[in-house]
Amino acid sequence: MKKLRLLVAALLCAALPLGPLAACGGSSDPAADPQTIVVAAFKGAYGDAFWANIKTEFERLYAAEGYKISYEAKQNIEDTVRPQINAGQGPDVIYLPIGQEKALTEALVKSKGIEKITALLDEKIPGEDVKLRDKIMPGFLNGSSTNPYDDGDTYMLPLFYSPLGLFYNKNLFNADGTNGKYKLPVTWQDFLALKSAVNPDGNSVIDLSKGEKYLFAYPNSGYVSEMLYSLIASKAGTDALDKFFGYDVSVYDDPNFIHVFEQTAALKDYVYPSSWDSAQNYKQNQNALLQNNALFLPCGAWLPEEMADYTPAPGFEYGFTAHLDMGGGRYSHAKIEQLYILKQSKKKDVAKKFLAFMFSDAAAAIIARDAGALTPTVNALTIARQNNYFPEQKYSYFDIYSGDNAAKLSAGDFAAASVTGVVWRNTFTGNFDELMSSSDMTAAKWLKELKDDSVKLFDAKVQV
Amino acid sequence: MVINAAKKRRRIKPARAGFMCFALVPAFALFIVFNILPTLDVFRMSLYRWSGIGGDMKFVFFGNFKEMFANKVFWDSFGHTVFLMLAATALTMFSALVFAFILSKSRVRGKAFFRVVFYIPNILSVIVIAAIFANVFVGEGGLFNGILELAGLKNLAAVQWLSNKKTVLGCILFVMVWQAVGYYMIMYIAGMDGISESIYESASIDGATGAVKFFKITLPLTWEIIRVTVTLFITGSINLSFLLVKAMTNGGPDNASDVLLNTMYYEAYGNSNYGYGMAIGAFMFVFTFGLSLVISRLTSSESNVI
Repeated sequence: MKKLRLLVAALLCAALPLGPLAACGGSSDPAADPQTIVVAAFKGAYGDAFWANIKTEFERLYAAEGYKISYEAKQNIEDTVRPQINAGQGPDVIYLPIGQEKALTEALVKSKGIEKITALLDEKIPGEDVKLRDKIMPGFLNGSSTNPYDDGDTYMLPLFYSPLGLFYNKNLFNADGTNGKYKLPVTWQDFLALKSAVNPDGNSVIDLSKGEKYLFAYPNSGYVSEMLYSLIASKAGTDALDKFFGYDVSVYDDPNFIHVFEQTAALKDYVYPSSWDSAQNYKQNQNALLQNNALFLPCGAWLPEEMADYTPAPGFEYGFTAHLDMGGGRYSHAKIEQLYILKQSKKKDVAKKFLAFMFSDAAAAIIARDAGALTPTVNALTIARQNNYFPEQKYSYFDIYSGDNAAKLSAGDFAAASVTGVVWRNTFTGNFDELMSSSDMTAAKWLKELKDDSVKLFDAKVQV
Repeated sequence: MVINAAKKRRRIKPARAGFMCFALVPAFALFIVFNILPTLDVFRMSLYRWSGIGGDMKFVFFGNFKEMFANKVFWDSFGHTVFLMLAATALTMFSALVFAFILSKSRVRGKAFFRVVFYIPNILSVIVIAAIFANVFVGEGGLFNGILELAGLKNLAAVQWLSNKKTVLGCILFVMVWQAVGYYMIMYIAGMDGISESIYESASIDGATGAVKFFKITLPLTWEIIRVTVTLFITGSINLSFLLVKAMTNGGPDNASDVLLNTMYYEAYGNSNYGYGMAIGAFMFVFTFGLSLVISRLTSSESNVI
């Protein structure tokens, strides 16, 4: 009896370290199946409902070949994927936009862990007779958002896009500023001219109780960056914007480039003060627009859905326009979200077919219907409209790139580079907060700090 | 003392000793795998330049440390960490002691109620506390500014407390103290309740005032507990300050509230600079380890004195 007890105790002790290990082994591992690709997806504003139908459609299309998808969509997908990649067992395909706090996509760019897919662009979309390159809207396959190494090669594809521009209350504006309404600005000068309309007594303090208004509110300073990109593209040209994105310091000698930063300083005293308050919830700042406390708000097409729980001031109606003309026309910078294949994937051929499939009309329809989003393909908006997938007003946001007053598309983002102690986000948009809130910051000082950091980051740019 | 006790016990049979060792192996193995090895790995990783993902690692020896000691953000964050640690410890310990004394030794109505109220922050999660105080310190319509405005301090009421470089650290400090004071107060009350009333009574007869009783009776007799709690709090405050900073300001504005753990997190993940992040981690380890040694040395010399 005593021996038996001892034996049981010994066995239990020996089994103790096996407990955590046992959890690691799954019964059926999709990664082991050569026909099944593993997709790790970020679950953001567009949710994860669309993945189920994407999977069904892809597997139906490739039923003969037996290709299958195993997907996992999570808000904190980085936490799942990072250890897998380090163990050499990462997923085959990842959808994860850059600009996330944990910056996994940026780390992959830096460690050259993403598969080059330039050749894929000349392949046909599954089930269609059109090349991937021609299916994606012009302007979306340039710049470091898709070609991070500045070598002309494409590594990432833009899965979703959303135009960014200025929201306003349609009922406060008309085209000529008559009937007690404001004139809807087209140029930056028009915009600044509204200063006297919103603050007639001209003193620096805006008093909401007297019916005065702020010209501008922003959710948080990150949203100002796309506005600056569009203004730089308009005033100094897209070449200057590309130089800015590539940390090329020659752009800091361009008077047009400098002009953009100096002009934004003119917004001081006209920006809704909670905008730069980090204690403030970004939705509260967005609410300033809905309550007519501020006339304009830079944001993306998701704003009305995001603010559905808030009650706007009576008569409020969303209007959306491209960023303002500073001399070279109006631009709307498009926010895109990256989709790519890991270099360590062992099923790249299937993964490439999947990537191309995501830009098919079939996928566009599923994404428009189930996610309320658009892929940047030439047909996606038409498909959504024909099938009435969106609320009516939403089409107009995506329409800003077409028609008589079409805004030009600017895309791209900062090159992959990291230098110890350089927090580019602070230097770039954090300093805009400073500029708006404190007299310690000036446009000249802001530009100098940007230039100093750019010198360091330029040398640290990742080369292939 | 342990050795003496062991000597007194009967000699353990070799077979039994063997079994004891065998039974200890699993726990020891887990401890090594999940505690010792990761710690050693922090030191190893700090010698490499690595993005944190993939196999592209470059050995740079002390390069990360050299860069770290030359970096302004690192020293700023270190300064904030030390400031929060010292100031929060001093303020928390002092206020917890005073409140504990008031609640256990004076005749205040509703003592039980106040004990509960003071303890409540301790059962709230740090994220909830951060959310509450983000709203308290909001510039526009925040509770704090509302109070200042009521008090007629118009100029102060316009400050955005968490977005102002000069005030943000003070706000974090306040929240740290607010969060911790109740927990330590309960500990001190427990200690003070153990002090016999007769000592206070005889002191009263000798004409001692409340303050004299506090400094001459309460403080010396709860000194043991104070020493333990100070050690606990100092090491705990490094983590607490990180959690609050992460949830409330993420180190902003312009690194004005950055603490070392936050810098480490940003560099390792946000800036894809894993090796450098681990260098900060290694520094933190040595720093806290050293600090614990200093505190334990101070306490042991204290125990000799008393």
